[in-house]
Amino acid sequence: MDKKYDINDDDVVFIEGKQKKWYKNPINWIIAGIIVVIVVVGTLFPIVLHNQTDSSLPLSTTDSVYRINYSDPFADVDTNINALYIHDDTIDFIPVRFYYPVNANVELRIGEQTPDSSTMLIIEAAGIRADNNDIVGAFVLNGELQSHGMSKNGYCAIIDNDIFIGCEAATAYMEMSIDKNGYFFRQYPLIHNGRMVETRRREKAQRRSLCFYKGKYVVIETLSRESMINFMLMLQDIGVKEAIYLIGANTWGWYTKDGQITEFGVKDSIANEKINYIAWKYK
Amino acid sequence: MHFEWLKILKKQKKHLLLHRISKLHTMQYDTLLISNVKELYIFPFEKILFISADGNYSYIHCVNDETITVVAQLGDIHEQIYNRARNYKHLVRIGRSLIINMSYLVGIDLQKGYLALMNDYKIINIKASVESLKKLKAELEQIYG
Repeated sequence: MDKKYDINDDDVVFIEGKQKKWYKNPINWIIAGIIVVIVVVGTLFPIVLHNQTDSSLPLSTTDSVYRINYSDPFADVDTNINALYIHDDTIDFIPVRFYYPVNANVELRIGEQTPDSSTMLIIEAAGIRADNNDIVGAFVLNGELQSHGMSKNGYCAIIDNDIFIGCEAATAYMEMSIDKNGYFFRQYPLIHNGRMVETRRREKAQRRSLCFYKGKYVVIETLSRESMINFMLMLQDIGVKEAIYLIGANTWGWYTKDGQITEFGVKDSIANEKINYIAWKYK
Repeated sequence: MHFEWLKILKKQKKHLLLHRISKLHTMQYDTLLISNVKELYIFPFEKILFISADGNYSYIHCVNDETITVVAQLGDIHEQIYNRARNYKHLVRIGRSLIINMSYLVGIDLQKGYLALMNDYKIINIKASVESLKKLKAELEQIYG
């Protein structure tokens, strides 16, 4: 008999039995194993998935580098001359193109356009409603209200050749653009105060946006089909402060560089009279 | 054909045996088993009122008023209870010669040196050392706050 069971006359012992050690129970090991597997799979699955998606990109280049501290490609640009700068890069495994119109006159246009070399860059701006072919949201052209309503919080105002973009349901820029013969349109907000805005759009398409980036207004587009989330994350990663969406996918436009016109996208065979563009012009 | 039946029978027997083993496996907990050359007793813990001891003999007082004398030292019984207790943890060793079931404890009298157990509205007074009763009282006061 063990000595611990040989007690004194004055002792009191509550016989509570052996405390079974947790590691002696095989069920506990199974539960611990399942938890470990869930944690490992939960950690690795998004990484594997991300890598798989990246390998399917049609235009990925070999210098794909994940960059958080992305250096401004237009840092050394001479802002006194009137020119369009284009920079291609791969950010967050997404092939992207930057358009930086310098010292240009900016305006909105409505209706069918014909390529001309005086236009530096022209891109479709506000969306068109499928039901009545009207412009989505408020639209001001040269101080005249062409369309009203608010379906998207993002806005772009052009007043005295200065661009203002942001994310607000009600903004004084609309009235200002009317008062000062300016321009105004609404689009989806992508980045606001340096943070991406919530979106429900999941489909993949070529993405395009007007961004306020390192103190200048640039157009950034993807050269591959991307989900809105990936596009927004990429913009956030490179340090875009504000960004609104521009019509992407295969929409038609052109840019003129060194006197040469380059068209992109596909022009609609039946032109919509409300189709609208944001255009930068050579002075 | 004959063989088939034999196989099924063997399978059933095996199944029955496994069932019995698993039942025995659960039975080994919260029960006291006293076995010697002549006899074997199985006492579920909840059926034990108290156990008193005198040298090599222990007297197991059951809730049905029956007292069974077994040849076993109380220390050995204590050890067995410790090893087999899983869910039923109400047995308390008081001094060298007493184990009581706390489920039946109704009082402690320090002046007379008694503790009282109640079984079927019948009070049983059991003598124990005053020091051990004091300790038990203190423990209970702590448990019941």
